[in-house]
Amino acid sequence: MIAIMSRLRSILVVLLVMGIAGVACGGSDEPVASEVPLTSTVPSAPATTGAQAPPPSTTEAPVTTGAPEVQTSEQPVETTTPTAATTASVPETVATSAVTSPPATEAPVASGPPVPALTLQLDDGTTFVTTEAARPTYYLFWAEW
Amino acid sequence: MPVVDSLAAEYAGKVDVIAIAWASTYEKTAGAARGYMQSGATRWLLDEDESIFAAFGVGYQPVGVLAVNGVEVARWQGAAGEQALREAFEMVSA
Repeated sequence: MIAIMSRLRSILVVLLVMGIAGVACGGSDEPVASEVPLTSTVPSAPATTGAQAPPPSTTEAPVTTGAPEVQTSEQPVETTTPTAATTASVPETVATSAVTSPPATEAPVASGPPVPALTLQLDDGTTFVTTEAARPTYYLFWAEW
Repeated sequence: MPVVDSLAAEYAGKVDVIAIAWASTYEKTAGAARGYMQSGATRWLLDEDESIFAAFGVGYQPVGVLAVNGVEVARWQGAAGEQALREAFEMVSA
């Protein structure tokens, strides 16, 4: 049995050596054909594509992914610009709310008691209605004895 | 009074200043007004029956009342300082 096994091993070894030699010889023949692929690399590529297809497709995928990324990177820029514009407009709104702050100052104004409704005959011959004053009015009560 | 008249001239067109006198005659009040209110920006009148003083709830003088849109916003019992008046005028005329 051992002898048979050793023979089989040797046969296998011989077969392997022959196979390798055959491959080597075939490879040496292919150099001629390998020049063809150089010319017809593109056609052969599809044939080989079975094995090499994934790399290109994978490469294309990143490219495709890269494109959106570029778009995405552009979008933020555009978004940033509108944001800046919005920010620029915000101060206007803030200015409006700043305008709102004077009313806040006027808030206590509305909290006071109403002035009595009177029609005053002034020295210059005009009349002044206290409830229809167009401007803030300062009344000074005084006397000259 | 000269201080009030000075502020009345300074804030003319922004704040009306009206001096309401009582317990006197028209001649005396007019004479005092000519001396104290030379700018012409302060207008005055004599409250002969003291009804205006009563309507504003003023029982003595001097008293200052600042009103905006028909609402009293500040009242000074006694003579108001120039700085306090200026600040009040500035606030309501802004």
